[in-house]
Amino acid sequence: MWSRRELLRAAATSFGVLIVPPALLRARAARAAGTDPVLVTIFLRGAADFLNLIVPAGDPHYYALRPRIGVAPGAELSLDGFFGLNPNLSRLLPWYQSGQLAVIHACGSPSRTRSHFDEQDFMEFGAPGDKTIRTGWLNRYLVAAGIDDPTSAITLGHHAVSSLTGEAANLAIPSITSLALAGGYTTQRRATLDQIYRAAGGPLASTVENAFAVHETLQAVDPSTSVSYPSGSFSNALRDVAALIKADIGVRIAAADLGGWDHHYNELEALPGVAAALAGALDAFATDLGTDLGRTTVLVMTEFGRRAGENPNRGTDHGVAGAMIALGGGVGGGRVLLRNAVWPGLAPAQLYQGVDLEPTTDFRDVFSEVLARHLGLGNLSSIFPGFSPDASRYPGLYA
Amino acid sequence: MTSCLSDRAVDIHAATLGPRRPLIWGRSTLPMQHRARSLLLLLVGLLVLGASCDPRPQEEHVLNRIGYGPDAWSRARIRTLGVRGYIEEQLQPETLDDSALEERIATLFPLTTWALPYVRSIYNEYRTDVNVSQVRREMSWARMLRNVQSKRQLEQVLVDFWHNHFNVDARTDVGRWGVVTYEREAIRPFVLGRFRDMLGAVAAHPSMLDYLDNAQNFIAGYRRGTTTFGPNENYARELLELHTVGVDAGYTLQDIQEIARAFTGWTIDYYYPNGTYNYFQSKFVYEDAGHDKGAKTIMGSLHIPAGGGREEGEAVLDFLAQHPATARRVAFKLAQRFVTEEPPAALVDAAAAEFLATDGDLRAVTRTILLSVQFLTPQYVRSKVRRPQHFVAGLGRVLGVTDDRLFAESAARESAAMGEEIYAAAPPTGYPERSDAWTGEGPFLSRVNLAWRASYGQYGFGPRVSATGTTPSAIVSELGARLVHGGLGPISISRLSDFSAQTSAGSRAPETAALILVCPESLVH
Repeated sequence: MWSRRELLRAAATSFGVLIVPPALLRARAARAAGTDPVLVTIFLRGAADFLNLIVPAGDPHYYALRPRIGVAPGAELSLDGFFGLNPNLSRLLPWYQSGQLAVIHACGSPSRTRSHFDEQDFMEFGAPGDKTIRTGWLNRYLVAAGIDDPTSAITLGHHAVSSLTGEAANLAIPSITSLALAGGYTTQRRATLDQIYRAAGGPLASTVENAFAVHETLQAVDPSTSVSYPSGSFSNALRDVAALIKADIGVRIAAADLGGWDHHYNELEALPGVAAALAGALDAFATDLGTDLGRTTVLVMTEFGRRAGENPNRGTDHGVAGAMIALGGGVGGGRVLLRNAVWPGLAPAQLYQGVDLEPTTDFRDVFSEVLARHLGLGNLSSIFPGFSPDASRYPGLYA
Repeated sequence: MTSCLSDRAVDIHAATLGPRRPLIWGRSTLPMQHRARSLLLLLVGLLVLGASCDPRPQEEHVLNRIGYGPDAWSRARIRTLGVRGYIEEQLQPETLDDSALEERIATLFPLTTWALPYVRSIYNEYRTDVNVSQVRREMSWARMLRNVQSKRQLEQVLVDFWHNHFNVDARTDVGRWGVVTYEREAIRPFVLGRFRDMLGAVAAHPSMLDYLDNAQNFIAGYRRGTTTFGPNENYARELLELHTVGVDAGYTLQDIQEIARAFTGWTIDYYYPNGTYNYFQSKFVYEDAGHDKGAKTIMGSLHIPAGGGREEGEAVLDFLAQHPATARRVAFKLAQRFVTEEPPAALVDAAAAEFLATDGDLRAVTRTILLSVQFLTPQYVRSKVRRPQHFVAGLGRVLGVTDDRLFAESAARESAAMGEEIYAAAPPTGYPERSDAWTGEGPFLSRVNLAWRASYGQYGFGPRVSATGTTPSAIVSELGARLVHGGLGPISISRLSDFSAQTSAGSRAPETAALILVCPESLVH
């Protein structure tokens, strides 16, 4: 079986000009609805305050720790009687109720450095505490699965996210249309550059060849949708991810970021907006995917949780455990998942160093379950250096 | 001396094999047979073409490697002074007058001239007229304008090189306001000065103290405000691994911990001496009460007796700045930047020896590399991929700039879109020097599009490219000479002439220019 890249290369050679033969496009379009599993990772940069997003309303210490900025008793949207959604996440509630959204709470990294950059790296490189690892866990997945095609792994943004950094080909684009050539004479310009670089040889030759191939592929993607997305760059990114998945061009991994969660001051002024932006975009995205939601898992993560107690500035400082949200047709949702079904608790003696929610689920256990049970990776041994995935520790996302 | 002999060598190498036929990419080297053949052809060529001596390929190499490519001034200057004279002048940037440019930058981007406490006051939102993120934006715009318009091209390249060596991500808390003085006061004054001075200025700058956490490095149990601190090894680790001796220098975890102890108490003035919070925090302070007074031994040879203070950190910096492994690492990185990504051992040895002989005089070390025989070796010509910042600046230099502000803003944005956002490399390693890090598909198409817009005079470039010639081949030849100082290769000339013939007469010049500017001859240096 040829990879799509090889097909394109062969086509380019025989045509002399790098244009995807219409027959190939038709062949792809004629395929039945996609069956490849897709993982969409969303990184909430800045350390989202999950104690105020997925509220442990059943823990009385929550209200003692958050007298001014906590979600008021009864204001939360109840999930399971103990936890409740922040009202600004209301658009996620139907997905929870229909069993397609799960929360993994008290989840975090054993490194516990409370440093944004360290913990973002540790999570995205899948190697807590090890600064020598500079390739992403998702890129190592691509390598292990033998996937090496730029359109298989796409970051919606200017730079590939760190979790996709590495040997396997991947693509970073601000939007679907950003690879279009400006100006006219596009066919002639592509052909001219392709011929020049082919003759010159070297690594840029394959860059040029791939660039035009990717462009041709993305040109076949219809970015329009009947679903109404909220405004904003994050929402725009998810709209493009949905279009890429629906077009079935072979996307396996897509990544997007939503920043603005570092709320040291006046959290109540800032959190509602970003929370609503997150929930609104996810709701629209899941709706837009339609039947393709069945083969898709969205995993929402952040580098660490915030301090259990509010600070004097009506904000929260850097903490340890946060949570993750998983959304998708295959997700066994409607549940807040906890390691051994135990909430670590917010009583002073239960907090890590007396101040932070204890991370009882290692984020790598979540990633491992997604890799094994959603993406179908058989051998996980090369993905997390110094860590042995163990099904008995999986949070149970697909159970 | 870079005589006409070596000028000929480049030219004849080019003439016999086709100007850019032996593109040497990344790490690849010519096979031995090919090299022997090159040498033979070169010698034959010397005999045949003894009289002609086209200096342009060598000039192009120098202008591309120690600057951001040729512009009208530098072309004329290198022709007047010769290659060696031009290099020597660039090594003395204080002799080159940039005052008009600096005045323009101060007017266009005033935040870049502010002193630190005032910048810090923005961060605390005491000023509502500017946003804190504007600080880094104006800095990156000023960087782009200097890259294009400064006569001190080598200094600009070195500022980027050393900022990258001592990388601080200016999107972090302190980095956001510290970026202004980090470059101006800790990096730029020393890029052709003493390594030890730069090392010391960086170590005590709030940006670095925050970025690598030394501001939180205290003896265990030390209380500041309401927080209890302990030792933090982050700075000590990167000081060894990245700033000085390098990861293979044979140090241990204990050495890292000992160095971290020596730097305990090096912090930022978060609080006034009376204990109240300082909203204008902007400078290094040493807090003796947070310093670990115990004795320390570092790498088996630096012994620090008990009872010391701030001078212990200085002693560590002295020790590391004189270490042969530091000399070698600095020499290697500079050779990698200026000569080739796998620099020959003889060159690294010579530059490292110069470093040790001159007590880390970076002007002497840089001169050793730039005047070495290896620097002008034809094999290394056009062997590196231009990084985005370099590519964007190069366009500005050959096409010109008609609107300083629009150009600077566009250039910073486009460089970021290609993966090199100025002052925003997240890891302490900075951006990679290696060519293979800069060959992504998306960034390539961004280059194609930017070259097209720039050729039409958009984004502050310009004016729109025009030509006096009218036939396709005349236009390719004319624009090739104007836009690529060392000239286009025969394949590019042939294909571009075909392309040019397919365009309408009215848009022929800008369309052709847009492709010339993304041919291999323009994307490498």
